[in-house]
Formats: sequence, structure tokens, C-alpha cells
Amino acid sequence: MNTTLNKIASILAFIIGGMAIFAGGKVLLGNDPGYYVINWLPVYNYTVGILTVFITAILIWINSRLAKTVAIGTFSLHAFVMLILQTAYQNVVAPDSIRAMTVRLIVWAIILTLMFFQQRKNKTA
Amino acid sequence: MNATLNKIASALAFLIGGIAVAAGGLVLLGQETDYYVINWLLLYNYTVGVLTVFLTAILIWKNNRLALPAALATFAAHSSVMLILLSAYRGIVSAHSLEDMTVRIVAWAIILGLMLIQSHNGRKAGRQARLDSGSL
Repeated sequence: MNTTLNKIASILAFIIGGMAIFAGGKVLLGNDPGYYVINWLPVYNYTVGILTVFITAILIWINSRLAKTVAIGTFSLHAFVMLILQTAYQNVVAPDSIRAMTVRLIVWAIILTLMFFQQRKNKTA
Repeated sequence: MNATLNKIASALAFLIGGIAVAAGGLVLLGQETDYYVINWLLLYNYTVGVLTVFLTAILIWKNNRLALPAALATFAAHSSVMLILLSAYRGIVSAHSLEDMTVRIVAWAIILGLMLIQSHNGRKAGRQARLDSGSL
């Protein structure tokens, strides 16, 4: 079975997860990012980054039946956190944090689209 | 196959990982501690805790072929970190952190012991079943 789109989706997930680990890890290690950071946000980003790199990206790569559920779960979680930031933290959250979360949401939307097309291609094949 | 020992090992891994996530998470969220915490040690414990709860404990529970390598890697990582703390961070690291790491290493030794006994019992039962069916 050809799974090129899933492989691309997995690489994208790995990159976005790796970036979250790197950026979140730096803040958690005490580096000052130069703007106000809500204390739970780097912990959240770092945790999801770890889970993405070590679990989600691998599940997508091996075309596991759990991959779609986990990817939808990650996208929903990011969307939920974005909603919280835009409502409860509207006046506190830094534009950089909103930008980073927007990038994550877009990338996960692309990942989900790639997985959807892969699934459709496999069904028609 | 009866996998009771693996289930106990998984529950123990989940517990030790959950404690690391809860304790590390609270400090990462800004809770004060009354002892000095090395910042990378905190992040390390939290990371391994997350991976244990969401990956290793599940692999052990499902008796996956990757369970033993994952458990061995966790034990080896904790032992290496303990070695670093006792050498490069001697005099800096708090007794509390060393105690916590000792508890983790002991817990992972027990987890590995349970998994090895389970695997031994499984092999023995498999051999017996083949003997009984006359294929050996």
C-alpha cells in the first residue's frame, strides 16, 4: 500500500512537535523569550510536543488505526486551548503565543488533510 | 496467556510516571520547593514521566514486544542520570532529588524483575503446552 501522504503528514507532525519541545523546553529551562508567557502554556506546548514526537508521529508513520483519532485529538486540543487564550486570556496573552498556536493549528489542519486524502486514495485503490 | 505480573508492572510504571508528572508539573508551573532543584533534572523527570504514563505503561500493559526495550531504556536513563548527579553535581544536588531518583531506580528494577519473571513463566508455559500437544 502506498502511504506517501501519511509519511509527509508524519514528518510534519514530527517537525511541529520537535519545535514545541525545543521552544517550550527553552522557556521551562529558564530562558526568557522576551515577552510575557502564561505559565501553563509552555508546559502544555512541551507536553504535547513530547507526545507528538514520540507517539503521534510514529502512529501516523506506521499507518496505525489510532493515527487519525490521535491527530484529531491533537488538533481539537490545540483549538480548545486557542479558544481559552482568546477568551479568558484575551488581554494577557502575548501576540507571539497566539501566532505560535495559529501556526500549530494550520499545520495540524494540513496533517489531517493529508491523512484524509491518503485514506481516500487507499479506499479507491 | 496470564499476564498478571505484567499488569502489576504496568500499574507500577503508571504510578511512578504519574507522580513524576504531577510533582514535576507543579514545579514547572511555578510552585516553590524548599530545596534546590536543578532545572534540567526537573524537565528530565517530567519528560520521562509523560512518556511513561502515555507510552511505556501502555506497552507493558499490552505485553507489546517493545515493552521490555522501553522499560530497559527508562531504567538505563535513570541510572545514567543518577551517575551524572553523583559525579558532576556532587555538592550541588539536593538530598531530596537523590532520594527521588533512588526511588525511581528501585521501582524500575522491580518493574523489570516482574516483566522478566512474566516472560520466563510465559516461555515455560509455552514449552509445556507444546510438550502436552506432542509437538516437541
